[in-house]
Amino acid sequence: MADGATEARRSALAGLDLGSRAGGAGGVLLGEGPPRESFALRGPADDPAFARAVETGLGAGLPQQPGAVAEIGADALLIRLGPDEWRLTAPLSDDGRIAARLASALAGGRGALVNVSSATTVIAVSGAHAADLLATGTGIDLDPAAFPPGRAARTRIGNAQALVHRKAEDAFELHVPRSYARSFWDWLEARGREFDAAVAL
Amino acid sequence: MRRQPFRAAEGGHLIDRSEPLRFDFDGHRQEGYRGDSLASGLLAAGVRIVARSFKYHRPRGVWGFGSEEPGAMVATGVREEVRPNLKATEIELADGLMAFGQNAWPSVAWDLGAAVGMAGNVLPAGFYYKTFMWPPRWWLALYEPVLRRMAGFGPAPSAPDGAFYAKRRMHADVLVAGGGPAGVAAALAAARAGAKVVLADENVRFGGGLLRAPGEIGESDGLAWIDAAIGELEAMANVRLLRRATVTGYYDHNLLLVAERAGGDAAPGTPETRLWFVRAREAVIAAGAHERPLLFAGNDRPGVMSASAAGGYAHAYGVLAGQRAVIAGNNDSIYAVARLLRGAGVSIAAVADARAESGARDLPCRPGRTVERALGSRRVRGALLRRTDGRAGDRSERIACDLVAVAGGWSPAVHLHTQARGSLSYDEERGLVLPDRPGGANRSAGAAAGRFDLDGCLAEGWAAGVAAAAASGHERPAGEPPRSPDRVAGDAPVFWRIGAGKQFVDLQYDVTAADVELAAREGYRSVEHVKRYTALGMGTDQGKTSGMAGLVLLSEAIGRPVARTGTTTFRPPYTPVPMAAMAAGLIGEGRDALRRTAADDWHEARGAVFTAAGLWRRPSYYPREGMDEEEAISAEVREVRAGVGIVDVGTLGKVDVQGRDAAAFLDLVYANRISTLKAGRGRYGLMLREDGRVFDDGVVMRLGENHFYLTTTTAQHHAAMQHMEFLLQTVWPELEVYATDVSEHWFAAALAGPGSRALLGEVAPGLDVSDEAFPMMAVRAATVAGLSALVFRMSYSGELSYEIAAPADHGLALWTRLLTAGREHGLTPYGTEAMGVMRIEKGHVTHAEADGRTTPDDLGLGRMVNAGRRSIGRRSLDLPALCRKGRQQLVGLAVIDPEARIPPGCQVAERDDMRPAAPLGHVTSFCYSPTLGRAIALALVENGRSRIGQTVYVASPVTGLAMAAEIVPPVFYDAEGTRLRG
Repeated sequence: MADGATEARRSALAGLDLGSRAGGAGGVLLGEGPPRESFALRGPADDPAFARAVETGLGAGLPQQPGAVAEIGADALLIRLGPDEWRLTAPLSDDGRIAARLASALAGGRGALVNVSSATTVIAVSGAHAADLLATGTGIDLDPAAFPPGRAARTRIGNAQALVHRKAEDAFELHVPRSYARSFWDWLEARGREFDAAVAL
Repeated sequence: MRRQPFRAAEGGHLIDRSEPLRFDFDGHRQEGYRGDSLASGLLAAGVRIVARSFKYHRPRGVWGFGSEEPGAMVATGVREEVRPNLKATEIELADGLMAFGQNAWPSVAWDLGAAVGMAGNVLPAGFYYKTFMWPPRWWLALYEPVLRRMAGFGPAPSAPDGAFYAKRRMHADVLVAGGGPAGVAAALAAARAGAKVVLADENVRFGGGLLRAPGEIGESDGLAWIDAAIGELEAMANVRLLRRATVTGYYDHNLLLVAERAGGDAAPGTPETRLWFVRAREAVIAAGAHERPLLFAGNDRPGVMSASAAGGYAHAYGVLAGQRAVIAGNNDSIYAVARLLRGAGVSIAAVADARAESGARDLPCRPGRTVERALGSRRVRGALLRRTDGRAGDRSERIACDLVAVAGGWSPAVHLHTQARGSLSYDEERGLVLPDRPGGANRSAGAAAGRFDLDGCLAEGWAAGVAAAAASGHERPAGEPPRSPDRVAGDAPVFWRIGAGKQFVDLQYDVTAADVELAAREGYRSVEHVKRYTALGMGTDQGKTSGMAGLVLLSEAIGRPVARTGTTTFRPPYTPVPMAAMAAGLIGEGRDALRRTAADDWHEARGAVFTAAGLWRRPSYYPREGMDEEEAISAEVREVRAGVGIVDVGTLGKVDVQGRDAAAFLDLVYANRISTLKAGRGRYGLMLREDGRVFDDGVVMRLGENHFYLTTTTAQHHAAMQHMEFLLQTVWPELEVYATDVSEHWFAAALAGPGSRALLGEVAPGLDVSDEAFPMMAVRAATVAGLSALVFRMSYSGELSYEIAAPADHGLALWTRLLTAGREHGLTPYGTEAMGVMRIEKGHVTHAEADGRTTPDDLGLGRMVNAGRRSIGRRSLDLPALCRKGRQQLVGLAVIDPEARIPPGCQVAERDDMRPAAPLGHVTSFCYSPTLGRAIALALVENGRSRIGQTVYVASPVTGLAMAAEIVPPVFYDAEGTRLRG
């Protein structure tokens, strides 16, 4: 990474100054998730060589079912988005190491790995009414029986498209396109009033 | 006088006598109890006139008990926040409630509009259509405003609704619509089977018909059994109970809309109304039935009401709807109602059974008789009874009373069944329109399916619950259906009317039996047409009580069986849904997505004027002290052309294309060849649709042998992405290509102007920016202002220019660092307006020109298409229509008068007299060019390229302006492109 890059990083929600507004306990807590790096992994799911390369690079099998998520060590995930598309995401502190391992495993074979770390803003929604808040704006079934912790789904929520990752029964991470993040936050706060939403510390 | 003269000393399972409430009706202070409805509170207070009717302004009292109420229309609240068109039967009494009867001035008791009622005989059905036709122009000016004031409903509020409304989505195995005995039994069966159940009921308390009349279930009181069942359901994790929640709509794929009047709870944060969108695998429709009226003269007078409602007010609220009652009907329910009223303290004057045989020894029965006329004007003072068999010489019996309770049988609530496209059948013998084949995954049960005995309702409900659970994949539940000793079918023969006079069918819209017959005489045959002509069933009650009477009357009048006449279509909503609830989330804060680039905060702080580009907002220009808009934009243009400027191009679409076949794929997608590009170089690319029209354009850069990065226009980004994905998935699945949308990842800014090279060289010391090392259309990875970036040398403005892309998380840093470094270079930020001026000056096309109708040749880009090569849209270019002479071609227009400005929407004409004539073409883009000192435009003009040098007129028929302009080549500035080299 070039010099001055770390202090150059600015979240799409920075203008909201969430830190100064944090506090209070509500039925839902809203907050920006910890910064993550993300990569689009493309490739043929039905090609054993590709699946093997992914497994070699990540130490985890390629998730094949819709909504499936493979956990790769410390808070790194490989989320299936479609028949030939996955999202590899890890804490920013990983500094591209996981992606580099995967890239070298894929080298020479089929597939592509594209850095999209700036493409999404991660918003954390948690609390007893977290699912109720999301249900004001999305058509997917959020019942834990249908969408258990550990699963992910790409859907429309409110005014944006989001990748919804359920971390626990009452905790979600929403990966929303960066340019939509501010207005999606506004939407969350407006609908969150019903649940006495507060900004997480 | 006692505050609540019509309140019984005891009784009323819905009210809490320890909590009296005060409320206002038409300016008079009244008192009721917690749990009262406004209707029960008004009846307890002795208020009989609640509203005035729509057309004749006749007094209207409470007729029904719940959502079927046709007459008691009120408004609540004050002035600008008034809530009109509410049913008094559905409003829960609250301390301090202010309510007004509708359609009356100054009050319902003394309404000046009632004079219309006296002229009632001259206002037959269709009166408005027939009378207020001529002269036509009087309609808007005179008739319509006056009629609007006279007729119509309550006042509209003028202030925004300050209340909070909400929506929520839910998935369920089984949705049960209606929480009466059948619905509760269904919910219990399905829930015990393990299904995820939603039970919704429109009332404050579950129980349905048991709220109005006592019944026995098992060994206990019916409501006690319901309460116990609800308690069991409430404790189950797989059940959600919704009170005050009406299932109002049944849509495709078993999506049901439930309107919950959640505001009744008044917990903080609770919305006034919450709309639930429930996707249910199976639905059980247990919506009950509506009691029908009887038709007789004066049947609209306050004091004439549904018998089950009269009983219900006594049972549920301890309220006496009168002191002395005549009860008339055609079925056994009248005896139970009579005993219920008697027990509550109402004196029973007569029980008139239209059937000859029925009777009861303990009641003053009049078998074979019915009400011929209700006496009294502002309220009922008595009733005339008469034999139903029409035997000669019979004299009417006059009975004094202040309540006429009528029981005309029941109409099953088939609304949801038919909304789901289920078919109906008519049971001639029982006089019932019944659900036939279901149209979705649903089943009707209980009174909604024509079962009126309690035991039958429980059995049907249970069976429906079992079946719904099974259909959604659950085992049969344990246990047996609850039973009731009540097994009286309660069927009523079809019997409607006797005698003559003004017999009201639709109490809300003042439709009489004579109106329906008149419509038939005038030739109306279709029940739908009669509805529209007479307005029968068009009120807010949608004819729940009146529909069947109207249907039978019409069938009799035209001599056709009821089954062949058919019903009107039942459309959602079943009961009115507040507009504000439908608008929840669609208005106000957080409604629309607004896309912001990474540098948006800077633009805002700088005071940029924003413009919308799709969902994006982009700086249009940066206002300057002492300059108007055109001057500020012109200053931005001049400073770029003379020095260096920077513009945020973060909104462009960007696509990463990789894979073994990437180059071959792009050769197919673009009309010009891409595969010959060398790594590190880029090319302008033109995408065509299959029909040969220009679809999108952008720059394609080759980063490696099998790796490309391409840009699309902001507007067509999603369409272009979809286009490529569609081709890869369906047309050429054998190609190994991965097109990944990276638009959100990359921020980009363009440096433009002769000074851009020096500035770039300064901020990217590791990059050789010389023309030889970094030529036009080259791409380099570099560290710019301390940040990893991609730099493309390309130009949109016609000046030496570089586009610098960095991950969006670093976008603001890139932007601000460039501005800081650029301070000594006189770096000017410019917006989309200046960018637009410069691209018009250079004749670059956008979607104003590539408007979906133009071919590459039309736009002067024909040479870009490789004639002999296969690519999308290439073959369509040979179609005769696309190569014929006379097509409109892109040209420039230079306005001759330097002071003139082109208005929007201009045509290109041969004359300036504005006379109708086919134009030569139209202006696609226009601006004031500070570089040329005059207004210029791009235009599509018939045979435009052969007209260069001609003078034409830019004409705006809308404003009446026309100005002379010379047709010129579309490139106004630096046609040789020397400035690109810097």
